[in-house]
Amino acid sequence: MINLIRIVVAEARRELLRARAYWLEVVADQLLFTLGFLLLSGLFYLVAEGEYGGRAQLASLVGFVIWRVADGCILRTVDSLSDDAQAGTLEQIWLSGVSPQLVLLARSVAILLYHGARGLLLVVIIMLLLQISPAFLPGAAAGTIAAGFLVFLLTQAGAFGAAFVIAGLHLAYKNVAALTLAVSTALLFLTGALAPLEGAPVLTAVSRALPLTLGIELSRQLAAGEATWTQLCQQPDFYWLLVNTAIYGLLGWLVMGWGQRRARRDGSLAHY
Amino acid sequence: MLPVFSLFLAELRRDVRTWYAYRLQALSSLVLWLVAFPFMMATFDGVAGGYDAERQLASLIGFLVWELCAGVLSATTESVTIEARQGTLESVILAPVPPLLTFWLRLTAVFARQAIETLILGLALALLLGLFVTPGAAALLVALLTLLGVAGVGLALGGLALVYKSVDSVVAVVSLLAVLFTGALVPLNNLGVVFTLLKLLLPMTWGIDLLRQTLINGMALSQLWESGALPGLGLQSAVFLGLGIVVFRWGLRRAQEQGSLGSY
Repeated sequence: MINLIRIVVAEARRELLRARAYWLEVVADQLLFTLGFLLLSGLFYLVAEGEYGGRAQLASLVGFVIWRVADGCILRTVDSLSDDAQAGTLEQIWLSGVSPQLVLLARSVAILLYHGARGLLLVVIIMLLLQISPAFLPGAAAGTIAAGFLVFLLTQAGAFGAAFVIAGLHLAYKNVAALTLAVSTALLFLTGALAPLEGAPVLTAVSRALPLTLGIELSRQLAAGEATWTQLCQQPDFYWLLVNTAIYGLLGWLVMGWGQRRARRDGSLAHY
Repeated sequence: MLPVFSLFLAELRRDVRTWYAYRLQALSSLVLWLVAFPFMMATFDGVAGGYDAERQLASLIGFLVWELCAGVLSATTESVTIEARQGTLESVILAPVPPLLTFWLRLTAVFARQAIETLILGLALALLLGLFVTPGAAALLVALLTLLGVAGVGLALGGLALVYKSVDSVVAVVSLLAVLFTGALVPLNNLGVVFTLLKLLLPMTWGIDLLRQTLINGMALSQLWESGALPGLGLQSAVFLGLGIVVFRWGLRRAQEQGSLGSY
């Protein structure tokens, strides 16, 4: 455990140093996603012919931010391995005294902390700009925030599972990293992150099998004051989220393990 | 007289071979849109509380025009950037064919290949969503005029790429913003003066609007002519095209003066 914390701190420091070195890119990226959401809100206002109020904006914001954090985590997880391979340092992860699984887990935690903080900043700025706020039930704010945090962590764990599937394929086949952007961007539309997909039952069913959808739906209910901490545990969707996260987590773990074994067998860990 | 047609065929063959080398990327993009577009329509349905077939068709028309134009818009810039990176840009300029003609033929080749891709995507999406439309002469003319305007802007960006090299990120942002500001996904006709300004200043907006009028409202060629919309679009495209040629020539001259054609 102490080892894990030590590596998380080291990886978090690495992320921050990297962000400081590329600060202009980070600022531009943050601005792009803030403006992107505002433009999408404008688009939805036109689509809804003016009937796009605070409640609908809040639902979109919840989905957008959960997607954005997952998008950042998925891209960075795969990119970090790809960057290591390009710099010729990937083999060192496997040669160091700490198990590679622990290093990757610690790296994931650090990436989540970094993108989580950026997601929080995005929420605060957009809420201030659009004058929207969550509608927690009176006296249930703390519990709802705690429940929201739990749902957020479970959702992002599922996203990391998907990221490790791609990373595992990347270790085995190389150059799969290009797929990451397409997959993470597609998740914005396929998970109903921008608006609930209520009008299309077939698409909804497909969507619920993906990593972020259930987490976004539950988070929307919590933010709109339609569910509390105690009600969350009574919802079937919460248990489906646990199953979904477990499946994606396991799949990620298995594919990553397979990719790692294959790369070591072929001696291609250092290849790019 | 240069064998323009054989030059065009050579450029087309080159473009198709490049496409084939990256066929996985092209096919995955096609599949991505085949999946993402219906989800986008479902998202609009969720936001608007109902997004009927006519509105879906309006979105599909705009989206397909954007998809086609985005390829044409970035073609010259990509071509200049790749040649500059590989160190072959000087050879293209030194060849006995005028550079403007070479890049124009490349643009035409990209358009021909991209048109087939867009047609396949459009047919598949129309079948998936149950939307049917038969494009007539008016629609084809409007589409052609719109493309000429976009090609002009593409040439201008190519001219800037000759001088400043790395402008492909600017083109990517422009293409992305064009989805929203040209009314490609959602008609912007309700925006009044803002729509008129967008229509006059951006190369795709007017064309997309006229295509919707012909394909959805059944406006005939004569009606478009009498309303002044068709001559207006023609004039706009001519201006964009003329501007594109001027900026491209300026960029080429400037790069030759600076001696920066061989550097990236």
